[in-house]
Amino acid sequence: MSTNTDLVAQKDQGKNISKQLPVIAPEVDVFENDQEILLQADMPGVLKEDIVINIDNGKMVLSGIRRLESVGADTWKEFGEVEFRRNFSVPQSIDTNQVNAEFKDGQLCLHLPKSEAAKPRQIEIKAG
Amino acid sequence: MELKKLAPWNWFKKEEEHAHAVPVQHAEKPQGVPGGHTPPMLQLHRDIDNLFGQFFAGWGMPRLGNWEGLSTDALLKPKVDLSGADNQYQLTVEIPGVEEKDISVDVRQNTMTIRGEKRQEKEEKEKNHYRIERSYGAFQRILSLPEDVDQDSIKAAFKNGVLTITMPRKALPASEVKQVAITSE
Repeated sequence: MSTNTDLVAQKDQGKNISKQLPVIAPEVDVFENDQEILLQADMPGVLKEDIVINIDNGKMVLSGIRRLESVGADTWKEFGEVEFRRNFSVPQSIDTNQVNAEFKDGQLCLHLPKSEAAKPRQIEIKAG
Repeated sequence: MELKKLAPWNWFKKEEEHAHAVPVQHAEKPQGVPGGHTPPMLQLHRDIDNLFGQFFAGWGMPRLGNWEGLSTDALLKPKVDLSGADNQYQLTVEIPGVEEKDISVDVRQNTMTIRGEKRQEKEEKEKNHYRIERSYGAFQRILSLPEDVDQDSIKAAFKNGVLTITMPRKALPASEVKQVAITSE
């Protein structure tokens, strides 16, 4: 099975992947206006350094690993350590060089500005 | 052997009682069918779910079907993790996108209540939205604290959308042991 080969391949890669974390998709809100597309994702407990955003060929991969420090034995677990990962399609109208992101209180705000050519404009008609 | 000692402490005893309490009926919110009566089959479903929920609660199992979630005025229940060591308990709550000042934690009569509200930012109002997956509104979790929590030294920290509450454990006064003398005759 494909999952098995994945596991083997990752073991060979090195020690930075200590154990397989459950992967969950972060909940997102997506807004759009004339200037940009705004994506907000909830990734509580993830450190800023552990968030990776890759845009390549119209596909965006958003991922973040949550590591938690717990004391003693777990008595109750509703969330735990996870990897947040989700794929998005990025429209061509987005200027990928201008994409920027902020992370605050476990909430990622990703601004995807539209390229100049894609912004709506009104064309004035000159009187001939 | 006392069976009660084997079962782990139920941190959610109060919360379950709260959930099972008879909800206050609002005049403008009819439940189920007009007239305020719950259909008998739905009532039966609820009863069975509650029965199973209560049965499994002591074994650290998640609750089964949650009918309260269906009502519109239900409070959000952020996820919690609990862990315990010899000297302290640690509780972590997942509250992304909320500011520190919007969270309140209080302890009253061995019950800890964590509540607050997640607000949607105003500036987005004029924008078109594609999808809204995140939930907004008031949230609350209620926890019953075990006897050995030192309630005066509970500490809470909020970082990256996760609230961490540490509860130091104190030594309980040992119950008196009486030696019974056995006389041989």
